[in-house]
Amino acid sequence: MLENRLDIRNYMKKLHKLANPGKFYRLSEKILPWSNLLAISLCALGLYLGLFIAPPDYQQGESVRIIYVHVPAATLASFVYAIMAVASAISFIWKNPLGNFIAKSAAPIGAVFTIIAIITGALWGKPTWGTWWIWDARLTSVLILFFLYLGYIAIWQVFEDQNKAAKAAAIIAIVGAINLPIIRFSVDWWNTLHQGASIIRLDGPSIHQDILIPLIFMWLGFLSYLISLLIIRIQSEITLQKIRAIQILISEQK
Amino acid sequence: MFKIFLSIVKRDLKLSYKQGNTSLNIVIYFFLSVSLFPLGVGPETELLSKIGPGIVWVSALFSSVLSLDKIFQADFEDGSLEIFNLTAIPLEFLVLAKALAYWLTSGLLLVILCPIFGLILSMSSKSILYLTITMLLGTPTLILVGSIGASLTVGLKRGSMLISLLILPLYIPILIFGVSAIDASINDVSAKPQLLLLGSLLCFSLVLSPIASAAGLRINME
Amino acid sequence: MKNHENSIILENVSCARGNRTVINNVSLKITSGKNFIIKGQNGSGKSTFLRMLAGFQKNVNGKILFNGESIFTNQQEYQNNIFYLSENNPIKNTFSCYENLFFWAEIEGMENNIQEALKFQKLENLKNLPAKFLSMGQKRRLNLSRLAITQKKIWLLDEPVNGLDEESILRLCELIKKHLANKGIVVIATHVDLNLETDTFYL
Repeated sequence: MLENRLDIRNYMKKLHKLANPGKFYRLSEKILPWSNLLAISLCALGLYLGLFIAPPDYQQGESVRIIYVHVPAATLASFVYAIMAVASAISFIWKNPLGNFIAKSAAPIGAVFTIIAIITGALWGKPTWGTWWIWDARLTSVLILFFLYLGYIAIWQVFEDQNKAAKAAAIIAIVGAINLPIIRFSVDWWNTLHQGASIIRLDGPSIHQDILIPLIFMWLGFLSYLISLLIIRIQSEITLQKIRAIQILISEQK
Repeated sequence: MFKIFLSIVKRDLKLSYKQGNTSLNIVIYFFLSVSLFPLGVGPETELLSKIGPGIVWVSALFSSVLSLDKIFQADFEDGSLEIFNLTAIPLEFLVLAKALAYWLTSGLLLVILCPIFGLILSMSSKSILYLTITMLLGTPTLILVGSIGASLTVGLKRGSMLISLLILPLYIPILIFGVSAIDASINDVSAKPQLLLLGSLLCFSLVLSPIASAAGLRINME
Repeated sequence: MKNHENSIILENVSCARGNRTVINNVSLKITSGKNFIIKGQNGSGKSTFLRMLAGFQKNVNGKILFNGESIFTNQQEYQNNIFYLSENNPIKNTFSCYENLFFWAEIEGMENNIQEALKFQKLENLKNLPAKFLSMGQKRRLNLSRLAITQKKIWLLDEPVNGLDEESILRLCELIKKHLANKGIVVIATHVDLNLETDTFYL
């Protein structure tokens, strides 16, 4: 008992039993080329239709074309947070490390989508509203979402023990997910108080079909891209875990 | 169990009375940050009375988040938390007890001092009244929500910056409802919905944040 | 297995801290009435072993049974049996010795025994002194005084005699003997030899 022996095979078996990353690995290897292909072709098609075929908006002119990037990024930004929260909840309740890998890998992607949404929103706002930033309810919510992502990413950074970091991050993701609807609601409330309904909105059914179809292509393209990125990041996360386990084994055998 | 709850509250009150400076620091910080705003935006009474509620509320947010990382720290470091964990009281109730004691020594002071800040910022007596009511409803929620961040960062050396990043976004609804209740009262509109929302946020966090905080403490005690 | 009343049984227990396996496949029995001492080098997992018995460790494989039942099935109830003395002294510097003891007594509902506890480690004269004026050894003694108050069955003591003078150690041993005579369980992690009849386990 004086020396601690950690059998790498045992460790791997444990990891395997809990999360089955090996199975995930094989499955993801099959999905990856397809999602890559879909991402490229759908985005290319969507961009072509959106930039060259679809007509300019009668009010906003050519600048409306920014929605082909802005809307997919903004919707997926929230979607990724939902993925993160669900994965965290699963891993927290059933102690499944794969959920942690998914949540950890998803967070930076979601943060980048929020940045894209904010920047394109600002670029769009300048010609439409005459100002780079407007405290519109949606923009504000997206900004807050960005802060939530930052908090989540930060908590992974500060813990030295990755097991603790995973649990703490899971709690933050779940708390954030519970709070997000409340925050959205409060921001909407605040916005209607201060702004009135003067902002032009592209709400659901009023979008013209010529705009909607490329938008859907773009959205699906973004989604495929998200899947590809997520798979690559989770794979590298699993590899990283294996490397860590091997390092510990080596250091203890010395 | 209720007896243990009370003795924890009593001990924390006594501790903060003996140490004194922590709650005094919060009040001074609060006071200072409220008085900095007129220097920043100019002394016009009309402007100040308009943005006064926002100033007080934002200052309350910052002062609570800055001091909150201490709420579990001492008990964590000297091992008291482990002993609490071995008593008949669940960790969730311990969190509640500590949050209550903490509120009594910091939040309540801020609420009592609210009228003075209102006067400094030349707010009307009616909006001062509503400021006090919203603070009374809001400060416990601030502490309860903040305790989640405090519990997660309790074992960390550089936790206090992180806690702001984690918790401030979650404070937004409280800020919005708190300030808009006062705005409503200024505009002679009923502030009832905002107050009810603040109350429901309090109830909500009263139930959920002890659970989350206890989970956070368990992680760090492992 | 006969007579698992009042005993802690470990079956093939492993425990990891972080990614490191600290305790590897341990099986043993801790019986009441007999002192149990864990010995080992620094970092060999003595503290983790005690923390595991206290139910603080999460990554535990194998079985830990108390009175024939896994300690994790009814953890809150099990933990209520435990007196855990960690390496730290849970003492508030601004409180006097009496106030510190009083609080710990209060959460166990044993406020009447405080005088006895003060007497146990000869702290009567320091009763009203704020704990910040105590030396390290005195603080340890104040912390140990909690033992004279507690009614708990299982004592887990992590390096209890560090920094203690011989007289204090003797008084501690007396108290442990008394507890053992009352069918209590005592587990001590230490590298100092105590004058007690013991089962020793080397980590």
